[in-house]
Amino acid sequence: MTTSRTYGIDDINYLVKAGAESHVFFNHVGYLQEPSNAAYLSASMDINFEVLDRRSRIVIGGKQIAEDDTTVRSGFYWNEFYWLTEFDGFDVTLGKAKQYWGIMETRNLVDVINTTDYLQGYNSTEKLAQNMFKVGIPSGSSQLDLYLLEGGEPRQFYEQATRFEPLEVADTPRYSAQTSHSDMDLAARYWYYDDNLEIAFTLFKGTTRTPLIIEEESRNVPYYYEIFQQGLELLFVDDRTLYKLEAVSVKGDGDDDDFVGASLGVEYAISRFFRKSDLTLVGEYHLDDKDERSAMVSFDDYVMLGGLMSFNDVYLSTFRVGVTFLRDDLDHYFYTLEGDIGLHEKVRLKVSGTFAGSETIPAYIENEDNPKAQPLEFIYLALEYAF
Amino acid sequence: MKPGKVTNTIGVIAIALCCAGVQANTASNSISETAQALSEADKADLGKRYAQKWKQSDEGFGDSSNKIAMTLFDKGGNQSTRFMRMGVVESTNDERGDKVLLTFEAPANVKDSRVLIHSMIREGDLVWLYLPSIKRVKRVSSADRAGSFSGSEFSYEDIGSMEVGNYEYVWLRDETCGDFECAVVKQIPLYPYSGYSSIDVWFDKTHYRQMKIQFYDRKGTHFKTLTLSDYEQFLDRYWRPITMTMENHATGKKTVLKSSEIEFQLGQRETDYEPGKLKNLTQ
Repeated sequence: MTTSRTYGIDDINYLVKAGAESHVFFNHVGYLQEPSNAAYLSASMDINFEVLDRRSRIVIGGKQIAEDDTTVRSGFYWNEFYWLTEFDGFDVTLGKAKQYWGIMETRNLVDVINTTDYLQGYNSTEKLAQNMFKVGIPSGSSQLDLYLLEGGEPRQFYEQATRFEPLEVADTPRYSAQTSHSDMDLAARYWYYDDNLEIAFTLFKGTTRTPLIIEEESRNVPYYYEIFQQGLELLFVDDRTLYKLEAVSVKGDGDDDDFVGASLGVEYAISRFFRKSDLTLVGEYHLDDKDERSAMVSFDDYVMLGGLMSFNDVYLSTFRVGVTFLRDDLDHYFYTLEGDIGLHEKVRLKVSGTFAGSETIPAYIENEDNPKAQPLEFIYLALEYAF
Repeated sequence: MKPGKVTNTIGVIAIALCCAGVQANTASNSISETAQALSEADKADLGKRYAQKWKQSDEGFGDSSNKIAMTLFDKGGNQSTRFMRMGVVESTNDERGDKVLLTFEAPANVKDSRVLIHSMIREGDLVWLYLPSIKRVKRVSSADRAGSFSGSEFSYEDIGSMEVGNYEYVWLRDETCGDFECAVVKQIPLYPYSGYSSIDVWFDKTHYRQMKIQFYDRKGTHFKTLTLSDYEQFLDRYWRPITMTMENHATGKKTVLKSSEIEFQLGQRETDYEPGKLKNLTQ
């Protein structure tokens, strides 16, 4: 039940959601001790509690996941827990919060504040909350955000190899000589818009949120190092068309840790494509020269073409489908889908999935001899009920 | 006068919050015309003067906030209601229109979704969406403005703005509208990607309030009618319609907006209505 009552302060809002999530896999992954067609099911309770007055807000968000043999994470954890207050000319955020940088649909190179929460599933966009002190300084059509971050939340790993992550990684992080978990990180983002143009410059100095996976004493362990990252976001609107660019330059403290990357995107809007629905055609190209020693699939030199349907219904539902392929290899490709659909005033269905369009898919082409390199086809369904 | 000089936000939902008109209190302020033959230029000038009068009547409101209950009726009479909080900040920039922020409060599965619109003159509005499910602020192409707003019979174009500088005007006629005498003015959009070829607006000639609007699609067919009623006056000056009913004659569907908790001059600033703040708004 969503309730809103008036107290001495303006409002106390609760939003309680109960959900059931399931990953359903359609193919066999031989090396795993998992059935050919596996289905994981988990239940969760998500509570968002806000204390509001005209100038401040306290957000307390937690999630309780039911005990289940197949889920790595169970029990309670904090989604967010922060205090935000506005002063004349600036605002302050203090606590465990999540920040999202970037403008692309399928990959955000510049996004660096929070560690991606891969335990939420394959190609997750969920994040781990980050302890931060943030000062936001708005000024007309610009905004400057300054961050002081208490270390980086280490990425979390499955206890054993799974379909989500074929490498077995020990959850014992290693740090380079220049960094440690307790170090403070610094970040800044300056954003400006002028009618049809939006531009953002970002800086980050601190521990990388995407560790390398190195072998140490016959085990795979995550290795964290110090980085200095400069990022650029550029968006230009030309009537029906949006042109987008994300670019990043990263200097690491090791010899091989530097990389640059860029994502180019274009969106074209078609109003009332079908009845009330609008269709946005989306094309994105991702390129970087990062040394891929991460356990996760990389998206280097990839093209994604797809469409985003906004149903313009009472529940603000959207659905996106796309096909992804290597820029110079059109024979291997896979399909992705992602939907956020309102079924009822209290019920939403979230769906995402990947399906191979060819016998092998681009992400694994370079590892064809590896028995672990097989297409992963799955569909993820989450049903969410808001009380 | 340059097009952007006289601006006014009369967007459909924004009508409830902004620019409903004040009483013409001096003879010199009133507009009078006769049914005698007017030239096309005279009719254009007269039509625009009604719109300008309506705009001037609302100048200085500063900022406002109200709650909206939006009820959607389908052809069979089934209905569903959602609640929003709407805020408007009057622009201090002559070249731009007002800023409008809509925050969904209920039902639960769209709670805290936000739409921010910066109204522009003869250009597509600047529109940003914040959807809590993806926790991102997303810029929307101005071409999307013609789309339906949350399944209602209102479009984003209706919500955003109807700046005076965004139209060509033609005074059509005077006629009785309820208890009032109204001037009927045709407005032809000058901004890109409008879903309308024209709209006809009934201005109450006593208070310069909008009483009715007929919408014509790109083919020139009259397909929607908005009726504004239950006007109340605030701060001894600003009129606001409490009820707005949009009927779609093509589909038989109807959307009714009921405003409540209407407040003015709350101290909201233009900087509160910037996309960078959509995720963290405290209001």
